[in-house]
Amino acid sequence: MIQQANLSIIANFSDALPVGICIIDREMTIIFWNRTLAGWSGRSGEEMIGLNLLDLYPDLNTHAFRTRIHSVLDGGPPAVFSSQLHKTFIPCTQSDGTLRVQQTSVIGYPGGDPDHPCAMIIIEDVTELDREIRSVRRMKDQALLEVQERKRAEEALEKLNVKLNLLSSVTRHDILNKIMVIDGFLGFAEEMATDPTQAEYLAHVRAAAMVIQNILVFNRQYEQLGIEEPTWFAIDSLIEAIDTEERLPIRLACDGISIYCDPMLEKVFYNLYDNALRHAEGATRIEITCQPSSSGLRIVWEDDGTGVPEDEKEEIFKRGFGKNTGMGLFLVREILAITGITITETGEEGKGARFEISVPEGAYRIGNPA
Amino acid sequence: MSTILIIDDSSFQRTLIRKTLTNEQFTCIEADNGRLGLEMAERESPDAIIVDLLMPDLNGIEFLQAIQEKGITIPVIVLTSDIQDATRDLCLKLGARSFLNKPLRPDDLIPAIRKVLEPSGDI
Amino acid sequence: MEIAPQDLDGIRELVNIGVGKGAGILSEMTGSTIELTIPEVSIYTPDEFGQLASQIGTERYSAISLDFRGAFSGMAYSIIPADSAHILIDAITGEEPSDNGAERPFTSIHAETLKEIGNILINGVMGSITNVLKSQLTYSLPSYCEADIPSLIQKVGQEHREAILLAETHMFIRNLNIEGKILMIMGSASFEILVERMREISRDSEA
Repeated sequence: MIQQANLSIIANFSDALPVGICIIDREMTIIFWNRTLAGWSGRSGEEMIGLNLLDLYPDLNTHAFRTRIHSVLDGGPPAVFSSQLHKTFIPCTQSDGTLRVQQTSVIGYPGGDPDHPCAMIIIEDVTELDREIRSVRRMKDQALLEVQERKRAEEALEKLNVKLNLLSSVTRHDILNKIMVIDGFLGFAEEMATDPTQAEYLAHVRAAAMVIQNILVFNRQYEQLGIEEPTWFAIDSLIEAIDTEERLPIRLACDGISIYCDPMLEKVFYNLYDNALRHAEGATRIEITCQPSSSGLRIVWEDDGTGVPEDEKEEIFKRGFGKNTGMGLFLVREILAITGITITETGEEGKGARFEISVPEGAYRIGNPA
Repeated sequence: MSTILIIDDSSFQRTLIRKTLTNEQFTCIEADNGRLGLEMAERESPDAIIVDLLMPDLNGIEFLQAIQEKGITIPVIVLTSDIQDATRDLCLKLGARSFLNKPLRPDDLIPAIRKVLEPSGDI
Repeated sequence: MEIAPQDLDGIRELVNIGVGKGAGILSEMTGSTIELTIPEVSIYTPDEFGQLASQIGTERYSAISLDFRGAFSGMAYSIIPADSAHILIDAITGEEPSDNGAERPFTSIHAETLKEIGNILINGVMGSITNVLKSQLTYSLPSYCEADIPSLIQKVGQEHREAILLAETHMFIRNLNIEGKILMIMGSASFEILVERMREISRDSEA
């Protein structure tokens, strides 16, 4: 009687719940089947009560299932059945023909007769969640696959790069050796040359050989670009390291400022200095100032020489421009660009050259030299 | 009265078995590992042996192999916490006469003992 | 209370029976035979466990918790280290085991699977204890979390945190070692009841 009364209370609230609820006795006979479960299974409570769960759903009739349900009936802890390991507990076909994915808990049913233990099976519909999980898993698998492919491609590129560097270094070495041979024999030839036309031709040969040598030297430097991780450099130490030999004094006002750059940064200042020596006719000094601004740090490098003509302000940064190797300022811009630093020429022709180096936020610091 | 050798490393378990058996007027002798159990089986010639599987120093499987090799024909009942069918099959193949699972249920153990003690039950 | 070697022996046997039952179910689910070892059981006060926990380290485990109330009350955890958890998941879902188990992250899918695995093991052990001691308990639904062992202990209410029972077991599935721990955290009164109940059964037996 108590059991019947309790069942009717359960019926009242469980019919309003969005979960399937079934109560079985020790013999696995169904004594309660709620409305949700009736809707899912297409079998009404009246139809199901009194039938044996294992006869109706033979998939449950395995030793593992039976043992676990029996331990609940014996007063043991709740048993949970994950949707990932058992798609369904009580198979219920949906209108599209697929099975409802279920997550199930089996708990001791406290409302029954203590001499006749029962278990309550609570089934949640996790079809939608399962679909989402599967879709996320597919996306993750796809992303992982892409990452693996990219990793493989990167490894292949790295190997190729090593080969190319090796080839380039061997070739460079061999050519430089041959240039030394040319240089030596040119020296003999120049000494022996009495004809001015012949001497002029030899001078052309020497100039061409020197250009080849310079290209190879640049090539070696350019290859080093980006190989090592960028790091912090104090500007004053780098400038102090330039050997001016008192040809063109440098005035520096960048105390305690460091910038984050490729380790080839020293070549930047060296090249700018070399550039001034070669091209800034009549210059008496170089001034370097640092000004923090809203967008970062501006380093200004200026001399009081002849300056750069308006139509050459961009050209000077192109590879092959100029009277010497044509590599200096090109390399300067490339080195700085690795950590997002830009360089432009903003001086006025006739008053001197002015290079503005813009360092972005985060790539410079003041008062904390590296 | 029949004498039963109980081989189990747990004194708790041996006590439970002993109580069950003495209630039924069996005499019990005990060993807490397989090696000692094997010696007692040879020396005392009990009427039946109840053996656990998971034990230090000669486990239950090794014990079954050893008595088979020695030609000892005392009936053996395995009483173990291992409920796997594969384990049961292996024990029966190694000559165990009965395979029972822990926890000990007197209603299973006593009939099993009586069965192996029946004269026709002897191999 | 003073714990005698026989008490530990009894607890070890009950854990052993429970793990055996759990392993039997897992064996059926994986279709592979599971080789078992004798569990190691130890009992600590929270202070002692603090020292042990510093040796265990702060490894994160998958833990399934079960709150129990009745003749004795407390919290039980089934704890599986990450690499063991991955072996189990692979064995049950039929996936090929991978080498870097410990480094693979857990997803919600794994959590669901582990919840069921932990539920099977812990139910085996709790079932074995209550069956033999003939005690009726009520339980919460199991829940899943990932944490280190000291945090798991901290989760239990102060009054239920006076005795800590740690059982360590190893199972071998297709020759792969699966390590599992069962942690039962109880108030000292509950723990005394558990031990006393076990002693009574032994005494009855002696009678």
